[in-house]
Amino acid sequence: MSSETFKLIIYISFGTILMNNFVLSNFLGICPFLGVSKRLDSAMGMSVAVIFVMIIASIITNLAYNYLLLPNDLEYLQTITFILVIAGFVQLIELFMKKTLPGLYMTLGIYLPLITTNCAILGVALINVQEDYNLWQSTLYGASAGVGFMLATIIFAGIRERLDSSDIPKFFKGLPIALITAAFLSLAFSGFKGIFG
Amino acid sequence: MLENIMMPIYIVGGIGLFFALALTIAGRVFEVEVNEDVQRVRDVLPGANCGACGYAGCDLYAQAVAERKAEPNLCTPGGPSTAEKIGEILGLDVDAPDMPVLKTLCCPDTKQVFEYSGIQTCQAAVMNYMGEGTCTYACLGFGDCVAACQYGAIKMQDNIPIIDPELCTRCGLCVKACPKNLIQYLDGDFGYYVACVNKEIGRVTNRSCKNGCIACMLCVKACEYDAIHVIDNVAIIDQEKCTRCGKCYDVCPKDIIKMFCAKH
Repeated sequence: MSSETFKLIIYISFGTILMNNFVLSNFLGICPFLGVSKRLDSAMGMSVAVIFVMIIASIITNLAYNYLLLPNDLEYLQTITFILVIAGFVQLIELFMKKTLPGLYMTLGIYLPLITTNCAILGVALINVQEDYNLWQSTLYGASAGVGFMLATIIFAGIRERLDSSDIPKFFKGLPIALITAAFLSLAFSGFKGIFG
Repeated sequence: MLENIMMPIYIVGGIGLFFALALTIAGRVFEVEVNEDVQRVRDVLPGANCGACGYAGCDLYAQAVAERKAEPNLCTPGGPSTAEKIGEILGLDVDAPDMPVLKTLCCPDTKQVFEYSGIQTCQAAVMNYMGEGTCTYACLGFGDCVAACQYGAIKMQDNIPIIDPELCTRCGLCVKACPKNLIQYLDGDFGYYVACVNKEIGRVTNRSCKNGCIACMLCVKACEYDAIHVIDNVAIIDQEKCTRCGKCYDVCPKDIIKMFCAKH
């Protein structure tokens, strides 16, 4: 492996997990971030589903873009095509999983349809195109984006579980204090900016 | 020119068609046999996902019932009619579920100490010296419970809430709404309850309310089954020991031991 490739791997993975965290600095996937972060185990399940779907979405949209849209000069159709292929493919995998891996389906199954049409997933696909990543680069980017989501959501779920048992003024209870906490978390993550100079 | 228009249609349409076919075939190939009873049981459940049955939601309860892992009469909002329907679907004999009755443990006959003219809710009124009446335990009568009830089962009558057992789903929202914790669950189809919670000694209670429990112990002595005890200066009937003989009802000098009935 050349040092250039190694640098690129470090840049894509750490850059996406810490510096340009999907939730905390790109503001993508806020809905599942707030929705499932009430309890640690559901946050975990959702995060694994997000990583899974992001990797699959990166691979399949990269193929669709390079082999269907580019040769026919149809770049402007990328949004609708990406939605179509991601949704269709995840549905296929869900059916397959239900039959062959019922154990995995019980833990991931309910989250898959929720996450399929999420903006974070489409965001991964569109940023891949924007940055001109090739197949392995976009797969890595998708995986890192998912891990970044997992990191943010699990930290947040841990904080929210603590918040549940702490004495908060009534008007701050629930979502208001959660949003303030998310803002602090986002500020904290902005400290990672500039790691690569 | 025509090609410029047709190409996108071919491509997007093609992708759509491909996934439609693939999903149809996959649906056939990977078909999972679902227990039909689960769906049918799920359909007769109210779908409130309240968790009163002890399962995380109606779906999980339906599954547990269909697999004979749970009793079919655990659904509280559905009541006996739902239990019966589930029994029909699964071919089981179902005992009607025990339906607790919600009653207001108060029948105030108090005097006014001052005039309250603030926000007209119990929650607000209770902050001013526990309300305007002489009894600090009594129902305030502003009807927070009436507002909390989503089923229109509560009506104010003679300044206390009357809960219609036919409309009531035992959801307990009124129990939470009452700042004086006067609404309580009573077990059994019918029975007796003490309509007072005043914990003051008899002399003080007697001064503040004509219908207060003065802890005279007559009902305790009258009970042959050890079902009534005076705790904190107020008589409490143990519904499990109570045989519904009605002797306490006869001896109460204040007539505040009252009857309750699940069907009016």
